[in-house]
Amino acid sequence: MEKGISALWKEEDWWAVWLGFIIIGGALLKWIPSIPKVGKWSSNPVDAFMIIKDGIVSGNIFLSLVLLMLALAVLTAIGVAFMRNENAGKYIMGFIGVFILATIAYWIANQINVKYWGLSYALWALLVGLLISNTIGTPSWLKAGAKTELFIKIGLVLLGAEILFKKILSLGAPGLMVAWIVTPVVIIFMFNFGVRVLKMSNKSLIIIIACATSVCGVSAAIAAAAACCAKKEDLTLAVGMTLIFTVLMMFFMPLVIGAIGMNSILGAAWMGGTIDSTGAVVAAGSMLGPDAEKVAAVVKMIQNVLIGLVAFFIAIYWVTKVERDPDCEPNALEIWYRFPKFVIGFVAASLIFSFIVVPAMNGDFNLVESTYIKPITKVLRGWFFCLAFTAIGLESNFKDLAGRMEGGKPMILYVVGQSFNLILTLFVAWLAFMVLFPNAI
Amino acid sequence: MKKKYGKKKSHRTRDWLKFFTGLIMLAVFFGFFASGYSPPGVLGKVLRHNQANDIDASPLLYMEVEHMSELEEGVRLMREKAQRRTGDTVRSLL
Repeated sequence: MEKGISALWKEEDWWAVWLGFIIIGGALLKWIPSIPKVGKWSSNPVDAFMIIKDGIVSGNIFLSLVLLMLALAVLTAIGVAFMRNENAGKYIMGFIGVFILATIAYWIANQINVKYWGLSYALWALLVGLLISNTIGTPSWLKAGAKTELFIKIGLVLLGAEILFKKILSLGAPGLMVAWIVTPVVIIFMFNFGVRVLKMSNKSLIIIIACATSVCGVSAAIAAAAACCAKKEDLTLAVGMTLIFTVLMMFFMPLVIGAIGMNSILGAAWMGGTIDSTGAVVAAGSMLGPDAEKVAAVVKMIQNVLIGLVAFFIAIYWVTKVERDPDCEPNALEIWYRFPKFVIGFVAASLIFSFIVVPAMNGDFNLVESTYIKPITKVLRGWFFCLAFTAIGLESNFKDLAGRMEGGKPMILYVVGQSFNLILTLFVAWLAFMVLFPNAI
Repeated sequence: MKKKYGKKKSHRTRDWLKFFTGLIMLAVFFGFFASGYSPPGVLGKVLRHNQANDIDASPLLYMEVEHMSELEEGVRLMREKAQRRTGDTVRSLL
């Protein structure tokens, strides 16, 4: 751990902040053009790389994808070269390999029928990486480009731009109650259950599963894992579980709500507070009707905003409690040295967009989103997360993953935690939407 | 790197065999989901609803949902309507 001023150019966390803010600054100054993304396709796989407007092909994204790959390779190579004195040329070669695999994962995930199932790029990126690492083994030239932590941290700094605080008021008090009261209670319950009842030794895995269950699935798992410096295998396990349960909950919750004749707004709030990923929440909410779809999506959105705060508090808790030296009380300076600095970048990006950029554009969220976030920071964040999951797959093996199962305890933790989440969210949603604020919607 | 190249030829052949087997499994897994199949009866109800209404269930975060601004606007209008309704009730009581 670097303790002097040199940490600013030697530590990965600081590089994630610098690189993240170079991208955000470039977006705000309009120096960065629209970022290419792999598109949806149905029966013709090539459609994913075509620019299609009103059913007519007007070009393709091959050249812009190559340019994006080179730009990201060079940008991140600067950080890698400074941090570890690694050979930048070797890193760039490896990065190109990882980027191509990430593009394949995106391409698979963007098949239209696959999207209807709710299977995101994270799953496919992991599978593509795992396929290589567990069969022929990841070649060393490819490993040189698999900088998982750096990709995750840059992605999280960019994610900060999407976390707009004023969105928490979108549904008023009942929305806040469902999303912001239940979530921390479930995290604390699951952490204590994992540590005290299940006696799981891996606290990082517990907190990642707790955050994935109670906040918003994969994205929360990534933020929690980075905040507590968890092992890649822990993140892989948690993400695998959350992806499976998200699909199951998307399938069954609307059926249960319909079968028992629950009020659709109450059901929507319940699903918004419990189903892990936003896409699955929208799909499940839509089953209950257009109003329910809106309420479910907005409850989930309010919960999404919690990611930054949760990551911040996990980082503080880990530095001061979990990983502290039992023989000495940590002082403020020690806490600062060990605090994951990228979290500051994450929170700062969120605050800048929430309280400077949005007000500077007359409070027009839609304009901010359509000018800076949707075409630039969101797409790049997606690329960095996809690169990270591909890299995790390339560096993981099934033996290590099996070793982390501790006799199925993580699965028990997820099931018990999610059951508690379902009961508590239903109670708070009923209290908020039916008893305390029945006329809110 | 040396270790890798130092592997016996039979081991390397076995690794590649495993890779192609895994690749076929991944292709079959993908093919299953991409085929447009949906489980019969109530189990496939949500999936059929997604297919019929072109609902993308894969976004991880709210910003990735294509029509999120419309959903937010919808909630804003619902709240305004509810406030007007409540105001009318209070006024009628007075």
